[in-house]
Amino acid sequence: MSAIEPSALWDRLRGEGLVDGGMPVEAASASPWFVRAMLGVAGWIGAAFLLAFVSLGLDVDDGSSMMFVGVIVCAAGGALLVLRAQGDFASQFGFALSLAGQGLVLFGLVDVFGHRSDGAAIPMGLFQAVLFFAVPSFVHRIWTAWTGAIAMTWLLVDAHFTAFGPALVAVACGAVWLAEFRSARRAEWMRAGGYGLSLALVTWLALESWQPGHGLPATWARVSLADRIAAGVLGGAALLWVCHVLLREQRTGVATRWVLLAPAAIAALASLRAPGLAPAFLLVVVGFGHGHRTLLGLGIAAVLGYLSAFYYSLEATLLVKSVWLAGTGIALLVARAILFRHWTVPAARPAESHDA
Amino acid sequence: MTDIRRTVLEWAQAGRVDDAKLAEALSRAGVLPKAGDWRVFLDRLLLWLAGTLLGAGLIFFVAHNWLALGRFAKFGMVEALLVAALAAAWKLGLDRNSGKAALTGAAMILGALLALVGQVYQVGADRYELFATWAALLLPWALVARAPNLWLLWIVLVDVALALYFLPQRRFALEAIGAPERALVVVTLFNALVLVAWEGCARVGVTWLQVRWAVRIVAFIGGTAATLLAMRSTWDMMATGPLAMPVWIAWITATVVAYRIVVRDLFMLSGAVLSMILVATSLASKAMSHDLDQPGVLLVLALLVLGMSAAGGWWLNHISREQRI
Repeated sequence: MSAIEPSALWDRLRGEGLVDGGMPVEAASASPWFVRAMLGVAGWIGAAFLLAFVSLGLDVDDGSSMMFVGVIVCAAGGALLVLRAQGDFASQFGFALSLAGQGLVLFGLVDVFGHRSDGAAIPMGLFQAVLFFAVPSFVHRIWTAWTGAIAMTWLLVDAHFTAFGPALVAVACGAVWLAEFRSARRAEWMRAGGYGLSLALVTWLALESWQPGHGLPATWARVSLADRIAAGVLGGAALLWVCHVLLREQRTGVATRWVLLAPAAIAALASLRAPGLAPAFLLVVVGFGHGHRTLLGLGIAAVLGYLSAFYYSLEATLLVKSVWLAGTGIALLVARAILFRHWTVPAARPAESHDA
Repeated sequence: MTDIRRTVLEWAQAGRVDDAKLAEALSRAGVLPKAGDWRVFLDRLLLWLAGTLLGAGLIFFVAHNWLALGRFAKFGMVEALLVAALAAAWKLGLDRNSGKAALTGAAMILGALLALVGQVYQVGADRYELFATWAALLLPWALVARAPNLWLLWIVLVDVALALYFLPQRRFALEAIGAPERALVVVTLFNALVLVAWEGCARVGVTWLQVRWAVRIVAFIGGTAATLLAMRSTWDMMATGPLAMPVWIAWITATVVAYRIVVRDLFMLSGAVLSMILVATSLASKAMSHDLDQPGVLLVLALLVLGMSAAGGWWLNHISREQRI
């Protein structure tokens, strides 16, 4: 399937009545990911110099001025991305300008609100949301979705609800990915938002492993066991919901669906003591279910990364954690054995498996 | 499959696929998994997850009881794991991916065993000796297995051993940017030799060496070392010596010539472009270092970076289109 030509695919879809007319003219292919990554790294460096130029050149020394100048710079960058979306130089310059402007807005908000992270978080999150909808650049949308999600969920820090960070982002991430194919026109928005939220989820899972005093506020550590369990319940519920919807889209029978949800339920239970597991599994399931190899790989890396970080977690002893993990592993093996005794769908040949 | 997915979504965005039929179209195109695909996926995922969680649980358990274990118990556990991994590799066969994965696992356990020897007996060896010994013991396995991932592990071990040899008293990861010139030169030259040998063998028909991801990682390591060397040289040539910039120039020239004309790999050329941008920016910053607090200088540097990246991106996209024709 991975080798099918577009023309042959179009003919197949036309035969199924899913499309009609002649095949669309092929648009110019996007650059390979490593070319875009190279441009991205250079863009970051350019943005850093631009930010320094704007800060020194305009001599902005108070928060309000920084925010005002930052909005102007963002608007200029956004205008470039709108007007010259196809030009390499213009798109790079526009992206760098926008990054520099967002940096100024953030510094301005921090200057105005001081150390109250909730004060800066909401306006920054809303600002990123405006940029997400206003600037029609895919990479820019991923960035604004990522940083906007982090900003909004940073409210949890001062409220001592940091344990809920991954779970809340997982809910949003699942909702966006599940809606990816509901509207063709909005599919690209959903993908950009989905990638941004997935990166925000991975960021939160990484932050879970940091200890206070290493750049994180002291409130980070004040998370009660009840909060951790509640966060685990929320993350597990998000995983079960996503699995349920994906299976419903496959038109599986109700009884079969409940059987297939058993492994997800085990993973959800495991999250009661390891809250990051269910959100990481969610990325794996969505990645496979929507044919996203990148997302699938990100999810697997998130699972492995979280397990590594879980080793250093001070919430329980290594003995308790080892029993919890081993017990979950055994439960999954038992579930697998029972599942495939009763699941009579013929297995696809590995070559036919989707190969995103 | 990524192209097929993107193609169908582009058609949909152009209005050629109805919203109500988009999911069905993606399913018919093979992008979305069918019931049989889900079965295979869940089978493998549950097995992999269960194995990972059981393995993690075992590691956590051993770590919890580590101090209470005697030295023979510690060695016994690690060596039992090593024997089990080798037995699995032998049973599964090195022609299969599962057998190669088992041998790779054995290679990792070998490193853990050597670290345990150093920890228990406090032999006073330098850190580079651990990695050098590990690489030396791993070499026969790499020769037998004919697995790119095992060779990659061996190359990384040799790189780490070489770097640590020249960094006896420093924390390796955090001070790589300040690494002595000799370490970076040696790592660059070693990776260059490996690249030449690897690409040469791939071209004469050694099929298991024709995977691109592994050789790209080797090039990434060597290119990073060469770039750090050149950037450090622009700011402190006394520390890096006269060889730094010629080594970098030789690396870049060889990369561009080899991967533009001989092998044609756009990933390598992208890395070379990024390296040139970083070094040129470093040179420009050094040239204007006395005025770096002037806004105009910062603007010039920003435009320089953006201009170079745009030019580099145009060149790479041009080559990409050329390769597709």
